[in-house]
Amino acid sequence: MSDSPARATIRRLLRHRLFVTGLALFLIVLVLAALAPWITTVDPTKLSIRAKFKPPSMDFVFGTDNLGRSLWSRTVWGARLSVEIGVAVVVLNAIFGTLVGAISGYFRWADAPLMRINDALMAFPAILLAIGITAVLGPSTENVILALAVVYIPRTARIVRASVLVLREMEYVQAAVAAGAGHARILRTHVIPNALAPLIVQLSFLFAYAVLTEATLSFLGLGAVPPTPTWGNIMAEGRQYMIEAPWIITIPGVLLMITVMGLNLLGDGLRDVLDPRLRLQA
Amino acid sequence: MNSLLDAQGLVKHYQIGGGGLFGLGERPLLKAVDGVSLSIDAGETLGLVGESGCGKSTLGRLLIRLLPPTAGRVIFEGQDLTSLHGASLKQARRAMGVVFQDPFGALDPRMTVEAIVREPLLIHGERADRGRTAAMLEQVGLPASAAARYPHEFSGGQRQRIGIARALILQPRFLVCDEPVSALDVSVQAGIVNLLQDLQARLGVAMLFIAHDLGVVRHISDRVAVMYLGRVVEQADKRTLYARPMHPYTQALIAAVPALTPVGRAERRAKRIRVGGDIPSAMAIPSGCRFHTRCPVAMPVCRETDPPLVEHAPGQSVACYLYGG
Repeated sequence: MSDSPARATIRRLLRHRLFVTGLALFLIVLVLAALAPWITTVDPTKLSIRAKFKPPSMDFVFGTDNLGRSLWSRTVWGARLSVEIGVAVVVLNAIFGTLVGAISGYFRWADAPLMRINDALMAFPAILLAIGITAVLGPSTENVILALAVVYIPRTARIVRASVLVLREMEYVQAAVAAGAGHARILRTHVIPNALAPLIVQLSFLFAYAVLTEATLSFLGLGAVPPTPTWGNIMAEGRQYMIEAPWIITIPGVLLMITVMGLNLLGDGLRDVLDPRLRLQA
Repeated sequence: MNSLLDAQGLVKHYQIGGGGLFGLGERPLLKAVDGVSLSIDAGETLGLVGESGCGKSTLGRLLIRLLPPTAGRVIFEGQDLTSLHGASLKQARRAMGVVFQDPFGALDPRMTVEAIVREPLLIHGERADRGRTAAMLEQVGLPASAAARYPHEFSGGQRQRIGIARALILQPRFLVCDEPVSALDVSVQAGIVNLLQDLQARLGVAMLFIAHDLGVVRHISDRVAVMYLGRVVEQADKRTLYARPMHPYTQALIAAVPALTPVGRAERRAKRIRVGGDIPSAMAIPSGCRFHTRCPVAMPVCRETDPPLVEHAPGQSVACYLYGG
């Protein structure tokens, strides 16, 4: 039986050392997030003043914070929130970034207006725009997702548009036009599937940016409302006790680092295998 | 006028660049096709020859309305293709196929051969079962086992066969072959040309066969049109054109076909017509006859006025003042 391009790609990915390392790191975080209700025994918001500032021990694997809350519970539930936000932002980007990028690249008349809006949004530094949006809408998980989607969709759309501009001129697209295929069919069967490789690479990096930016926003008090634990607000609280209780800020910090590093390695691997041309530019 | 396809005064101009700030500057005009009329009868093969950049591919795409013309009309089976839209255009496309030059860019890398060949059937809501695609693959000389495989597993020549199968599965009455063998090894070229000839005889499809040298076209064409800088400069029956080329450009092209025997070579060297230099830019077409800058026998009148394409002998039209006009 012959090998489909998809299956060959997966095989090459599994042989790529950086990709596998990144995947493993990211899986640690994913597993923590998925199993949060089962691997934490203590409510992450339960206060116990008598047990405050306990360093990591057998009772509290990651120690406790200034209010005696279990840091294990808090960081694991924080991981869950980070992953949820990351997934939501990636899904919104995959849908709307592809839609805007494909329309803009494929239909010439739509290109100028859509790309000017895109440029306007991209002109703001990502973090500043996200802060602005959450500041206006108020801090909440949904608003953070919305803000991050608005910030990153233009970037995703740009990447999709660039591939579509090339693909629409491919001879197999011309052949489909000549056979009488409509725009919808051409986009669905030829253009979008072939634009997926750079999109997937972009989305893996985007996941990392989303997690990082979300942590920044909640560190600044613009993310999910306390006492809901997020890595950002745990670090914000731990910042005051950095000398006395360094584990409070270190533990979510290390997890954040593992997530971002894992996703970046994973993205590098995907890029090497799916889109070798990009490697030369990077 | 009961030809299958009639092109009348086809023009395709492109505006190049944005024309400076806010598009206020002057935008140069690229004249890819600059007034071409030709007709093709049912079941006939017209060879279209010219150097790279002379507009022959553009012309091919205009004829099947892959591109909208700037001016002129294409009448296909009595219908003006340039005025069709939506469902009627889709219906007209059923009767037309195209085979491209690049065997690597012409097939979607994510689709199996079967999916590629079947797509035109699906587009037109036709029965698209395995037997039908298998029969088509067999006709182009591919094994049935090819159906489940992907384009990257095939050689250039085999890919071209896949492209031909896709172009013919709807049983079109007109096929544009845009340099279908130019990207292939010489050893493979003959196989594809013979296949096209075979299929044409069997299916009765009319063909526009585009190539950049006269050698390939000679085998397959009934008539040949020679194109230079967006115009047809000579058009004739194959036999007439090769035996008695009239336009200096055609003569030069024929002289450029390598001879196979030493005798032929010496004979040719004696009466060879050479054309120096490169084809001028389609953005700055010379005044008068567009060939006069490279023509070995240019006369003063050639610099002044553009010679029209006139029938000088039965079935042979030339755009050149050497023959009066």
